[in-house]
Amino acid sequence: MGTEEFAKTANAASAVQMRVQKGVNSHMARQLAMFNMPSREDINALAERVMTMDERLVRIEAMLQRIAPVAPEPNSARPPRTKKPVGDQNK
Amino acid sequence: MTTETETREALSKRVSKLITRTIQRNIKGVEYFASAAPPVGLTPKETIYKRGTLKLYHYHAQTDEIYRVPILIVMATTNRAYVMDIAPGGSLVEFLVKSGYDVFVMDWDPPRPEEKNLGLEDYTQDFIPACLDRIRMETGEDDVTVIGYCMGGVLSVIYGATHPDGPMKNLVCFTTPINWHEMGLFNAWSDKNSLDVDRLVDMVGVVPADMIMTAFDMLRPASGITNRIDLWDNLWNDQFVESYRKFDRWANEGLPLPGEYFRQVTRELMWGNKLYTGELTVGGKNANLANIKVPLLHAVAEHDHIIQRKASAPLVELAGSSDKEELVLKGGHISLVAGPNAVRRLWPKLDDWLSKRSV
Repeated sequence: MGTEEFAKTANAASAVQMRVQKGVNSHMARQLAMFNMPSREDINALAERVMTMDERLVRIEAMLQRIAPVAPEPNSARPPRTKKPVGDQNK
Repeated sequence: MTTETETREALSKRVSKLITRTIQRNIKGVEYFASAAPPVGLTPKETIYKRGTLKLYHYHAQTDEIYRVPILIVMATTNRAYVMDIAPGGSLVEFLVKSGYDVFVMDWDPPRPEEKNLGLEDYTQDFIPACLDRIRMETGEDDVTVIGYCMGGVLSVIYGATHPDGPMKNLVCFTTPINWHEMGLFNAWSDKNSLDVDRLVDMVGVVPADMIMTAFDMLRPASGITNRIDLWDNLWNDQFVESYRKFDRWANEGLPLPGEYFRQVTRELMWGNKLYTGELTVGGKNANLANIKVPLLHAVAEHDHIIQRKASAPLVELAGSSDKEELVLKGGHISLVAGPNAVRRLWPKLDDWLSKRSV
């Protein structure tokens, strides 16, 4: 399985599988367009725009955090960060 | 006469045991196929940050006091993080939480088609720093221990090498490949003459999980069959079956990879071996391992069939840390971190190393 022939065959098989998948997707997209329905690519394009907005919000949030840092919420339910390793506990 | 009676009794016991187990196997075999997937990731947590493929969990503290320095576990991008919390008693996260650590975990959802352009830069210069910021907001602590598993270790190492000024206080890597020219069969399969990575990535956008999992399965082509024989043999044993199902679920629940990330890993790491040579540049920064100065622990498995010793050994050699240690333990790629072997071997050593560096 470590031979060049095996690698070439396996990679060629993967490439064929991907090409078939792409062909099916493209055919499906044409069918969906005929029925006036959005294809996977249309949905992806929308998702990409949402992601761009999402990324922009992340940047704005990071910028706000730099301008006005939010202190960690005091939460009495959280245990104190005072634990020491077992050997050091008696010191 | 007595000997003959004893032999007959022993034979009768063996036959009886065989019949009982066969009946149990049949009953439990039906249960196996009829029951839902066993629950995993049961240690209480909340998701404190979510952004596309990235999720950051914060596990609830279970001790009266905790160590000052929180821990961020960076999961490998090919698999779900619940292997770190596979089952009560066998969960690394549960162990750490019960030992008094404040634990955060970076987990991955399957990247969506629109995330096909995510690359090493996004993971190491954006996602990890964003999670560290969240942890600082959550805990008020500037120092964090970063633990990376497999490819999560590679991301953590690249992050550490490109951010020598912190906030990473300690770095722990589990079975992390550095010398990518020692990746065994992966090298043969991804050879430049055989794999047209650009064509593949341009065609699919996001590389399907099946393709990646097939490569992992092909490393041990017989393991699928031997695992099933083991399962059949132990089908009467509830504990074995439960554990088998959890690990089987995890192993089969691989994640797709963003195409750009796959292209970079293939070109820069697999072909160029740039993490090893010190030539890797991510986000305009040189990811030379000598830049890592924080205390470093690298735990590797003797019988790891995915990341062999020759691939992982250079991390400790090349890191610039003065406090650095390689821990070679018996076990494989997964049993190093999860399951009964990990409970006995890795966890106590990890706790010992971490506790001294977490105050």
